[in-house]
Amino acid sequence: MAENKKDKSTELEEIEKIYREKQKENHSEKKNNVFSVGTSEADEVVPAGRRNKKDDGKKKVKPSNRNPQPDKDSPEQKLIQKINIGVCGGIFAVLVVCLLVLPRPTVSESEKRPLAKFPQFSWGDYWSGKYTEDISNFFNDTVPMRDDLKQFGASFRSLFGFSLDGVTLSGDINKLESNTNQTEVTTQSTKPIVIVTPPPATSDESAPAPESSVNTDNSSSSETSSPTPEETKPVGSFMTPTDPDAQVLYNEGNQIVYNSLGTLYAGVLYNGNRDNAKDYAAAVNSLATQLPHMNIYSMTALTQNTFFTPVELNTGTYSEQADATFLKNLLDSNIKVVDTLSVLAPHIEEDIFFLRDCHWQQLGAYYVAEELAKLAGVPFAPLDSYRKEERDCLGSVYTNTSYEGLMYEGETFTYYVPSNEYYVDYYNADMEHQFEYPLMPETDYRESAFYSLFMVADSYVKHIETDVDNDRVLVVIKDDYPSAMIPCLTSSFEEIYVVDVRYCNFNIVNFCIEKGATDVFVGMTTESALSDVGTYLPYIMSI
Amino acid sequence: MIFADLFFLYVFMAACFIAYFASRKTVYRNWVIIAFSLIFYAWGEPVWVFLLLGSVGINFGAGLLIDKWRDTKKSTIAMAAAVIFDICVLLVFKYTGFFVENFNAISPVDLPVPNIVMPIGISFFTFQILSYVIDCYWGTIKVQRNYSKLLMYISMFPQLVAGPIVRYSVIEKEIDDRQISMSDISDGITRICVGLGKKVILANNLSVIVDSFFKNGNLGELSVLGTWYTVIVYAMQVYFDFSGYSDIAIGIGRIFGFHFDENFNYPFISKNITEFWQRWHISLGTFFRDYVLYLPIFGKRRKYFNLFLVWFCTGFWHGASWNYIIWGLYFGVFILIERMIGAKKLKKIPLVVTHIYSKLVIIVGFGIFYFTDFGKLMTFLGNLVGANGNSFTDKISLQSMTANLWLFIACIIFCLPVISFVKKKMEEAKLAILFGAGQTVFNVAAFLLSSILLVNATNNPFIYWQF
Repeated sequence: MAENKKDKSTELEEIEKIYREKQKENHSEKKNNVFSVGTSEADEVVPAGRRNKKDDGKKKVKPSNRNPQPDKDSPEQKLIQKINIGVCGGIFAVLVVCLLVLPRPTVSESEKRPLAKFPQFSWGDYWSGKYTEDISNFFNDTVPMRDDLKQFGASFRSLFGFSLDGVTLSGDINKLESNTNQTEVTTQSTKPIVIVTPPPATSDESAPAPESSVNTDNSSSSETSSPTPEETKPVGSFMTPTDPDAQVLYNEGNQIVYNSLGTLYAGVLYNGNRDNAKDYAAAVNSLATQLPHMNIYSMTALTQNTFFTPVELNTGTYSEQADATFLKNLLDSNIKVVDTLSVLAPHIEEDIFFLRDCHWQQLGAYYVAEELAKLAGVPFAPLDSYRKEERDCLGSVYTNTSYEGLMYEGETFTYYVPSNEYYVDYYNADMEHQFEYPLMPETDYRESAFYSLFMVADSYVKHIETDVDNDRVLVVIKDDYPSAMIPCLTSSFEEIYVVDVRYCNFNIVNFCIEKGATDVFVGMTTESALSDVGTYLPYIMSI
Repeated sequence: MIFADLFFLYVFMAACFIAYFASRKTVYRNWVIIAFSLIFYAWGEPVWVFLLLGSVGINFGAGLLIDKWRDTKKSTIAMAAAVIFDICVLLVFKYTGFFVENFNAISPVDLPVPNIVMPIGISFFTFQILSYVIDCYWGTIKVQRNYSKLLMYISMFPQLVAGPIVRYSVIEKEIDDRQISMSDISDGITRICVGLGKKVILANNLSVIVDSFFKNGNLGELSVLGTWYTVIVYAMQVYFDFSGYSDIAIGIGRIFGFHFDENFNYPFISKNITEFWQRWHISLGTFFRDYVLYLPIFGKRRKYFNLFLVWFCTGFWHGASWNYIIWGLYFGVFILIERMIGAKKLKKIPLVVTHIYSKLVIIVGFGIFYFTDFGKLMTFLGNLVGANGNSFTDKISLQSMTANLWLFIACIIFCLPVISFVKKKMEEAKLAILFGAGQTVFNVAAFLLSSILLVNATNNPFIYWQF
């Protein structure tokens, strides 16, 4: 008990001491009000509950070293304040009005995707926070001039670096190698060696195709391409490369950045849904049935996921290659299949794909267009007749993710301008004429939206009249991927209509008939065919 | 809703300012703030608005009872009941999962870990409510007899979800009577622009570097230099992220006519850890100083045990993870050592030594703060001294340093009181108007650039939102 009392009296003495010291400190605190947090200085501070109540009402914690402010009521300071409020407030007001009044884009040409839409209200969405989140997303995603602003932002970020021996270093540089002894930044477009070996038995490719409609033309391309050891193998002989040491540097959704064999790659992981295969195949088959006098071609293109991306990174149930084969086996025999695997595999050592973009280089598209021309029995211009150009570009993965390492890497976009004469008219999704414009408007080139070089934007329907005189009219029904093929076909068809399935408000069957089409090419990536994009095809056949 | 968001800046904030200044009387303006604050909070968490309203209601009632029963035991009971309620709400929503996980780890039972969604900003508004109730009990403030006014104080959107933890006493008078001067609006605009720039231009770009090395890179193979480099970048990222938020909060408050206390005061110029915590997250530090440090629960050992309690709470407040507790106690140990050495002796140590010492401790502390995974934390600590067999340097880290040179220069300028020094000198040289013009240009540039960088930036949370 005595010890307890002693403890309490000691504590009271301490508090008294603190209080007295605080009283002394009050004078100096006016000059230098120091924060104290559990420190030696803290002993000099009285806890809030034990302060002098009269003082405490006025006492506020202030930072210690606020500079003595000049008289804020002086005419000079008032002028400064007026300027600041006027200029900043004025610009802010203008921006508010612009962002609210200016038309908001619905499609991103650089990202090749429809932009967010204003959400439909539902109580469920509201209470979960989804509705309000979607409103914010809509506002942020559909900012007027968003593509230009995003490009400006990327340009600004590139200023972080400085020039060293003529090479601009900028943004973030990532660790590319798992082995520190081999660490180096790769800037050249080296590709991994593609392994071509006899395939393992892949039961997942066998489609439950109806006997009467199985496409027996498994090697349509091998009939027309110059044979190579790889090509002579049946479809499926190509094996997607493996790299157990592939290092994922960034992954957001299906967008992926990885290092494989010393090269930085970026792409979109394959995510096709095989459950949609029957519906898509049925739509193509139906198109052929409804247009019996026309040649119908189908292409479900394979991408980097088959040719570059190590199998270890593939997260899908089936591979892209397996799904493409499955889909092909569901098509009727009267449909001519443009098989990108057999066409592109022999050229894998060439620059037929981007390393850090989800599209193919135009060279890849050229080889596939050549295959289409051969199937159609129309002429095709040799590659050396084109004007070859090279431009810097930033891949779609960078545009979508702003992953800085990709900006540092960059990439070269090689394109080929056909030498023959042609005219292009652009229409909107309702087939109302908009304008006449070049097929490949090079003057509008933008690094971050380089794929727009091919016919400006997917949202327009294009009508191309060429100098070819063969009465062949081609209607191309596509997603964004085959856009690079179109310039290569200007030497093959007299007229070409290009319709993106996502931006078409008319019946495509009637359209083909009205335009006197002789050939109809349905082309998109395998993933598009097996995703929501593929569902647009039966839709535009029925509207 | 977050500050670094185009919808917030150009729709919400614009609408709020228009409604606010269209209302002439303070009472109407208070209602504008309440309405917009509730919309702000409900934007991401509609359900938790009711928790906020209820929590304010209970503490409002407690305040009235404390005043009614002042100087009686009933008053203490009312205060204690409100404090226990507030702390329980915080514990339930923020720490239940942590407690269950740890209980499972030390006992043979395997209880299901509840997945409780934590209401945004609960740590901040709970502390504000606590400070109100305790101050009422201590009699340092007058009890608020109008629910809506207390609701406005707690829910005021600038500081609702990530501080600063504004004391009721700081804005007590301004709730009923506030004058908005031209100086307030001008300073408020500047603080918003500077804060936005800190967050969007600096912190967001620093985070890319941190993610590249710590999050997406192979930490085990990072060199010694690379590890130090990344953790320094992370320290700057947290500073710009959090102080940027505080700047925007203080700026909006100024435009409303409120004068919140500063939350940061150039923490990286500190000569020791004690000083660092007087300059870093000041509102949290002063909260623990005033409400925890002097709790008479440890008898004559109060001096040390309360210090331990303060730093345990500081760490634990930041998150339900052991690394935050270690982080808090880590700083507590250094502050204890400094305290034992004494302020006078510390002052005698050469500045170069104290600065090196303080920066090392602070930077390593941020590493502890970053890694919630204990295994990665140990790898990080090993990396710092090359204990993992990692090389001293690597090409990528060196290139990253040069690749972001201008970013680092900008960060250093804004970490140090360079701008205030220039301002002072220019004012002394009668060039204040030139500085003012430059500041306006800077404000416009920072705001425009931040807005452009926010286009389609889908993920911009402030680090301190998670707390």
